[in-house]
Amino acid sequence: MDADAPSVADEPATPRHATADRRWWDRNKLWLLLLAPLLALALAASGFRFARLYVPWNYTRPQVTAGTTLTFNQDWAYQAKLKGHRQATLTVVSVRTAESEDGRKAAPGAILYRIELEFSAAPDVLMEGCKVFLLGPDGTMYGRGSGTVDLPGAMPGFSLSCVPRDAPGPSIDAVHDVIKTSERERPATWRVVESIALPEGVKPTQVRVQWDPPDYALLGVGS
Amino acid sequence: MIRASRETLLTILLIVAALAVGNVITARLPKADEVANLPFVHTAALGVPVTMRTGTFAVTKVDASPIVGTQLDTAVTGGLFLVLTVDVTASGEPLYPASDDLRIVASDGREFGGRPPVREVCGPAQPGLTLTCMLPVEITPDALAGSRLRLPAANRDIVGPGESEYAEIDLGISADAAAELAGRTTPILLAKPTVKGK
Amino acid sequence: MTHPTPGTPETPSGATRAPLAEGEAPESTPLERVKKAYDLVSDVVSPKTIGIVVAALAIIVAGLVGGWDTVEAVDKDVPTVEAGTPLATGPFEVTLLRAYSTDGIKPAIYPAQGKRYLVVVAAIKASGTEPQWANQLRDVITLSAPGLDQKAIQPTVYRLSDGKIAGQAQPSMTTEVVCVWEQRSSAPIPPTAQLRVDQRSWRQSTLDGSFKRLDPDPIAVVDLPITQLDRP
Repeated sequence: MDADAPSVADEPATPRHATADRRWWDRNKLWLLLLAPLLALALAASGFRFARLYVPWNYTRPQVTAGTTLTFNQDWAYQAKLKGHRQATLTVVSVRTAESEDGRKAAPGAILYRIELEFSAAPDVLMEGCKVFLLGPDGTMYGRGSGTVDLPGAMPGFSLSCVPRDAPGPSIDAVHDVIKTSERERPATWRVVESIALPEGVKPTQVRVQWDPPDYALLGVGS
Repeated sequence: MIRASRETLLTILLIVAALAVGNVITARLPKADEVANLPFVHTAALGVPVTMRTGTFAVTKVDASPIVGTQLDTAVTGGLFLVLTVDVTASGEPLYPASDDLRIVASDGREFGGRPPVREVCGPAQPGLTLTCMLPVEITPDALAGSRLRLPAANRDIVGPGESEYAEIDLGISADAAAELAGRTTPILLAKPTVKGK
Repeated sequence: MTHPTPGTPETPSGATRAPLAEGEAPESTPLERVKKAYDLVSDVVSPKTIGIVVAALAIIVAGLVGGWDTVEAVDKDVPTVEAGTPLATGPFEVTLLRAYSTDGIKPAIYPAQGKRYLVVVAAIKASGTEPQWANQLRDVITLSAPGLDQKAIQPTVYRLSDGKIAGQAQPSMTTEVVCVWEQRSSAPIPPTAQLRVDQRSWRQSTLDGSFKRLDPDPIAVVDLPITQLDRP
């Protein structure tokens, strides 16, 4: 006899559909439990459009200090072939206006700022390829190579030297895909000078230093 | 053997009709993709500044010649180089204007542009400081009259969708002006980008 | 002999018919004939089995008459055309004009040890309404000559008017370009530059959904006599 066919012995208070529901839950328990994880997987699988949100291609993780010294930490990777960790202590030594710096002066309507930084890192840490920006009070970023005029006869440097020229330490050999290091060991601490022209009337409030995305450092300009 | 009763036949017909109607409806409704990809277009004219999310841009002058050059290099074309003088004021962060992605669009829809054979790299434009650049575009003389500049807000990202915000700037070239521009032969020297003082 | 009929006979649709008169055989419609034939075998096969057998027979018979043979690729005869004939290749209309061999033409084509350059002058006009990268010529023109490095990305395309590397060709405008291939100088200079011109279609890649110029399809072969240039 069918177990859940109502018989006279059954309590009349158990409605037939409740028993049927309970059997449905029992039959489908496994798939119901899997429903949530499977939905999550399906959402993740269709998330290709949002790759830019989770792939670290933009600068999205600031390490901030209101002061002028910060210990900066990040992992870096070069084309999935090389990777490493960068730990360095960054210090803003001074941010001052200047008449000229590195063969350039401010264009009309702009003021040139000279930013002196001190970097401190172990000799085997890759420190090449940094960029330095000044931030205005509203968060606008100001960079090098703009708003300046070359001084006649001068040969301004093309890019910022993030490491000492004579002892740069490790660098990436893009031809052979290895890290090579300079013969002279890089000193534990060295100075970096950048010059950025800001429009007249804009005072810099923060210094931004970055290497690879997504991490970057924000420091105060000091007094 | 399947006996096609009246009910079955009717059901089949209804299903097919419903699918057909559904097909027609989904074909006519706008798709999410199409709506999401609608461009942001700002229209302007020669001399009128137009503000986009990356900064403010204005085309101040239009010149033409079959020969353009920088101090190091010269390019010659069988058609014409239209040279646009553009004022760029970046906002938020330094900007390289999209000089390779801009297009001169003729009134019949032909698009001219791309990386020119000689150029003075325009940028980086510092926020708050107006940078003046001269941008050459290779074009045929018959496309000048009624043409407009389509300037994207930023250069195309290597990855990701194309730029969807751009300015359509009417260059105000009448047929007579086009004929006059086409007749110019003086070589044009592309000036290095300069910052306009206040 | 009459058979006593037990009441009114019913047809399959349930409608009743007039009773049979003596000796009259029932009209045999095609449907009823099929039903009769089916009744003969209905204890052995079902309609499903009959369907499977018929399908299998169809497949086998199709194979017997060659339906499952590999389709031979149609070997197209690629026509040889004269220099100066405009050819529609997809991104541009290409007209191949002249060919030279040279050890170098300064400043654009630098002389180098062990290298010779095979040069083809062509006129291109972007089809459609947008500028087209001139180096797409690499995808539509193939040069057959001994001593070419097959793995190198060539040819390099320059503008004839000013010697600059060719960027984009504009629509409705004919641009003369110079295509340069590098050849080992140990290889002989061929008497003619044999160029195969393909056309490509702009379609969505089935691999990643992006639009590309795919399906190279030869449309012409051009033989250009090679003039040797002695200028260093």
